[in-house]
Amino acid sequence: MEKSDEALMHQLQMGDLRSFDTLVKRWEKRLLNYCYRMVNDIALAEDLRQEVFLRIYRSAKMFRARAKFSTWMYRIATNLCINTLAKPGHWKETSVAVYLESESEGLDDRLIDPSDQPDEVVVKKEIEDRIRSAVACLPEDLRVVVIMRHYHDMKFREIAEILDRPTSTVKSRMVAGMERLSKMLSKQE
Amino acid sequence: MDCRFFREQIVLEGYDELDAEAKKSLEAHLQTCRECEQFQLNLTETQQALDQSTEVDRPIDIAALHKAIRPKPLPWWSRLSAWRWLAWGTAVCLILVVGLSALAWIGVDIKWEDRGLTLRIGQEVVPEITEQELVRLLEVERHATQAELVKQLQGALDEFSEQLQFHLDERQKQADAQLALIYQGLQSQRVQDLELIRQELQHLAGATEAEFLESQRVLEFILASHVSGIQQNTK
Repeated sequence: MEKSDEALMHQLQMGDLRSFDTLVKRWEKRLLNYCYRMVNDIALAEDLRQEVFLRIYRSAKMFRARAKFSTWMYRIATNLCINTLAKPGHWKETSVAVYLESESEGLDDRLIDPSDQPDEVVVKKEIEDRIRSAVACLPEDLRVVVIMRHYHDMKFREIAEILDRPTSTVKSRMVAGMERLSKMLSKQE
Repeated sequence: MDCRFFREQIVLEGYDELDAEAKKSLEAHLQTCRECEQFQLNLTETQQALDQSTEVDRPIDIAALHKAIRPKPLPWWSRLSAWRWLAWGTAVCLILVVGLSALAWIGVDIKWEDRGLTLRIGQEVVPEITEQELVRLLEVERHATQAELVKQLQGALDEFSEQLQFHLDERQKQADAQLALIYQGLQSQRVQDLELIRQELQHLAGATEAEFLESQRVLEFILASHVSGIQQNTK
């Protein structure tokens, strides 16, 4: 039977490094994708993922068994992403106009299926980039809710707990975020 | 209820977080509200569009992560800080040794006595004493005591001598005063005697032999009494 995240954290608090490795393996992909959708930069997302795991390791003793590990981890990741984006060196323009002007640059090997035809690869890449850019263009408070709800399948109550906001606020942000995305994506078509 | 509320309900329904009763209420609203119906359609399309964005998968470099979580070796100056108490202790000891050596060099007597370290400025350091030297030192001590006694007696004698001299001087003054009085008396007596002699000599010039003999006897008496007075005063 697979151990829960909280049990692994307890073992890590006891000094068991293998439990940390298990947590890393369990969450590395989801955490990378969360950071990637937040910052829209894969290299930066990888650095942020590593930093989140480092912070988890270093703050393991502060983790309380009553808390949910994923909530704690996403809170660390969210704060880290937002703080990183707020730094002058990582500032990014997020207006819709800039989004609409943006064009995909080159092909990304990550998205290429060997079975795809060259044309299909290009189209797939374009769609992928547009969606990522559209999400990245959302204001941070809307973006984080959309990513958590749509891509990470979190309940609104859970998102509210991570962001330390009322559930009603999270819901209204989701409505606003989806409306903006709908407008941005429909304009492209 | 306004459309704002129902749009939240549409989103909840789109993510399967709406209970059956709320679903019925929403469906009833959608039957009557074209805008909300359109919002639901847009939401579904947006969800489908978002689903086209696939997930990336780049495994983490676990070795690099382990390396990062491993405590980094401290730089040499930080490692030195771990020994800072020993360094401080050594420095304090060195300062003490150098300081005490300097004090000893300039002639301060440094001793460890019952009550701790004692410093005496301007005293010679007494070397280790042998038994013979101790005897000799005791002799010196005894002599020193005798000398002190002689000195004390000498002092008392000097004081006594001064007092005696003072009394002698006083007596001398008194004696001088008495002698002066005696001298004055003698002088007065001599003047009287000389007057008497002059009168007798004048008388002798026209006197007979019998009167001469009487005068001679008076003069001899006067002379004898005068000599006798002098002798008495002299004594």
